[in-house]
Amino acid sequence: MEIKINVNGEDLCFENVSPNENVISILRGKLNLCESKNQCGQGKCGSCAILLDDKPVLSCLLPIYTVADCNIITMEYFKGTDEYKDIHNAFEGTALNTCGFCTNLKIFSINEFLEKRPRPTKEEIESFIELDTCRCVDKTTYFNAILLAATLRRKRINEQ
Amino acid sequence: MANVKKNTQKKIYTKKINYKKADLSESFCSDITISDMYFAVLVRSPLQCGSISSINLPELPENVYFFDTENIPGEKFITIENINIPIFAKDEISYFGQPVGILVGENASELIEIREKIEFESDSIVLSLGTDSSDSIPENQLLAKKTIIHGEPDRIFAESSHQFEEEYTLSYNILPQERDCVIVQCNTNKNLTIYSKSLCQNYLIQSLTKVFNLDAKHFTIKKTLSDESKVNDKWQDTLLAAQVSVASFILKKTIKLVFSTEEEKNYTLNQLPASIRHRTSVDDMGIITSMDICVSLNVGAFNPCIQYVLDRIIINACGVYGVKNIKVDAYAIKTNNPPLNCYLNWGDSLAFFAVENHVNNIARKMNIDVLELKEKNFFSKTDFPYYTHSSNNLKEIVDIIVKESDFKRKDLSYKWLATAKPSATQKKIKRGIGLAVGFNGNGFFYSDVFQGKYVLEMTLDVDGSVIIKTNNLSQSIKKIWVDSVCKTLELKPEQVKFDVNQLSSSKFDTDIFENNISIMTKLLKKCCLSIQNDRFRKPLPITVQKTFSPARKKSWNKEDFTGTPYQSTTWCAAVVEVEVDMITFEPVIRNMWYCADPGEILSKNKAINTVKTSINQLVSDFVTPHSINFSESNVMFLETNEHPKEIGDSPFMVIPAAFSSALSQVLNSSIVDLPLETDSIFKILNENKRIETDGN
Repeated sequence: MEIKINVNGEDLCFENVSPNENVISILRGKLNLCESKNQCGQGKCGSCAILLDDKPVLSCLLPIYTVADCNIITMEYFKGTDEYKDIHNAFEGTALNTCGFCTNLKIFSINEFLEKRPRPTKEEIESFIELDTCRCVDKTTYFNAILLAATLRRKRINEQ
Repeated sequence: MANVKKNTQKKIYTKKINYKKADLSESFCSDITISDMYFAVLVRSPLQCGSISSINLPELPENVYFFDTENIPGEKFITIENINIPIFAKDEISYFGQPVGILVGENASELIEIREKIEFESDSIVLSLGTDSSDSIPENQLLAKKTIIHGEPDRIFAESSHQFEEEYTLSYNILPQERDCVIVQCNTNKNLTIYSKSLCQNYLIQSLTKVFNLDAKHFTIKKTLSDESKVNDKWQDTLLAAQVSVASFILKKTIKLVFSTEEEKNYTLNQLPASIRHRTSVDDMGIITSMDICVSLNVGAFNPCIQYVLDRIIINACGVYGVKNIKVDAYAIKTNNPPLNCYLNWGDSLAFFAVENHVNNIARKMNIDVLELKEKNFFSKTDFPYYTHSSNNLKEIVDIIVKESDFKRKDLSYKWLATAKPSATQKKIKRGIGLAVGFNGNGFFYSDVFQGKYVLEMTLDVDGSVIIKTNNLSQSIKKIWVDSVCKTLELKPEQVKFDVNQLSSSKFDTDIFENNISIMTKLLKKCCLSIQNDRFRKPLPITVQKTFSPARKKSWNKEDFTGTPYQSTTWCAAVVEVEVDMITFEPVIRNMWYCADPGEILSKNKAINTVKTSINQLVSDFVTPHSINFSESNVMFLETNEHPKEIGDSPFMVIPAAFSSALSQVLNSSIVDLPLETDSIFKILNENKRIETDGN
């Protein structure tokens, strides 16, 4: 089967793709985009997270045919964006250490959260943290990191 | 084809970027792709023991190959620490899933399908090696044994009026973040390039020279990035590299092998369930008069590092307590379980879990104050294992944590509440608090390990940049080092570069054992100062090499366990407050306090978050399969002017014991096993009720 996908701003066409293949194997195997890792393979750990039409999804559970004509953004591309820099600087600023498994999902989820709520309230951040199933970071540091990311993002947008 | 919902409001990404091709030392092995690369999967034994007479392969498609022990040109095993480990097993299978061959082809998924069709014929099945008690261990099953006796523990125990005996079991496994992977390239001149995260580079080259009967110059090791998990690097990388090298050498192809998630879970274990039996006597004043400790470790089929693990367990067996009469028996038992990685802290956390729980249980059973019992028995310089390290910080740490957690009041209150007539609320919710004290030894002065040295080389280049050559570094340590170098030499962070491929001087590379922060940071500072002194006097480039030769190793005697075993000691203590809902029988950690003496703190935020990450990782394994509810930990440091010490592993020494002691107080019954299962509390309470009813 033939599938067209926009990956990191580039229109790509995949021919002879097996319907059994998932997005992570295409990203890693065919495009050599290795920032997404295939760790648990069960959609639990978050290491395979990508942005699919601006929504964070787990690519290890995503059959390739479901993403035809969609936009995929991987961490390789996202690292070049200002949104990433805000979040990364916030992680650095609060010395947030993630376990490594969940980093991609955390970053993409925070990005989506801050797009929806540029000025999040305490309660909104707390409920966002509650949704995170990986418990590698403590809640206070995580809370501070999100708050700082929101501040840096607003500051950057205001300056532009 | 399935319907695809198109998001009309989606952001259109138009910016094209050139992905940065990272240096291989900055890439994980599993992320590396080389053109015309073949893939490999290991064919594993379906037997736990016995021997395989033949391997019946299905008809192999074109460009798919199978290699087994017959295809190895030289020695058919690798030797690590005098233990011969077969590259591919055949005549003697040691564990279920032991590699017996390797399938190589262009398509990894095709290889997996072929592997499932392979049939095995076995000659004989010999009886599986079990894990019986230490009294009846057959000689061939005993991998290592050590006994230390001081005083007359048996006589003192027999004569004592307060005798306590309990067995403690701890079993949790930390999965590494990065899967095991190796890539081997071989050209027609028989030169092999191996991409591996293996830190045992010397072992790897030594082994490969024997396997292929070639000089060491035929082998190049390219070290790839390794993860930052608490798992020390593995000797198994060496075995994996040898297995893939055999196929690559014969085919003259580039071959990549990556472990699947299942293989990672089943065959790269760091620890198996292990138990420690404590038999202790205490006098009427609360002084521990004797300790008889028996450690039995199930170490799987092979474990080259077991002697170090056993020695560390013995050093830590009586925790922070000084006992005049002591006997420690430690056994490592070979079984048909998969082999274990070199995870030295396995023994440390087990030893502290057992001794701290035991002392807390003694205090509970004798109805004496747990803090008083601990403080009365804290060791001095004259006690086994005869530390020359100052333990002054220990008392201070305990004082801080007791004050911050309000331990004395809470301990008394919860004890009283446990015996008082409960109100309706108290019936529903019960609370307990536990205190554990311990230490984490950094830089183990085990004489065989230190045949080499810790080395750090720093070059100030003509362009003003600094290149640091060292062994593998974690990202957080790298950042701390960059800050430190920038501050001393007044450079920008981008001017500091690392080369982690070059130095490999010790027999076992030092990283396997530990520790960048304690020894290497010292060397980094020395290098910075030397360069600072020379930079305006000598022409560039200036190269400085500093080594740490553990002269004090002579003061550690591994035969009679006297002297200083560690380069430095991080003292630590933890208090855990637990609440159990008596309707759902679900334990919740209400609060947790942790205090340590990390010496000079290079980055306080990073230090706190490193400890918190360890705590979170640890706590998530206390109850299986569902994680325990836990919100926050309070991390405190006793800041001193001592050299920086390791802190990431220290929560593993004290928090499990503090948690189980708190739970023991709630349930009024000793919790001797971790992790718990979700119905463990219900079972313990039922058992308590049954004993109470039988007693009446």
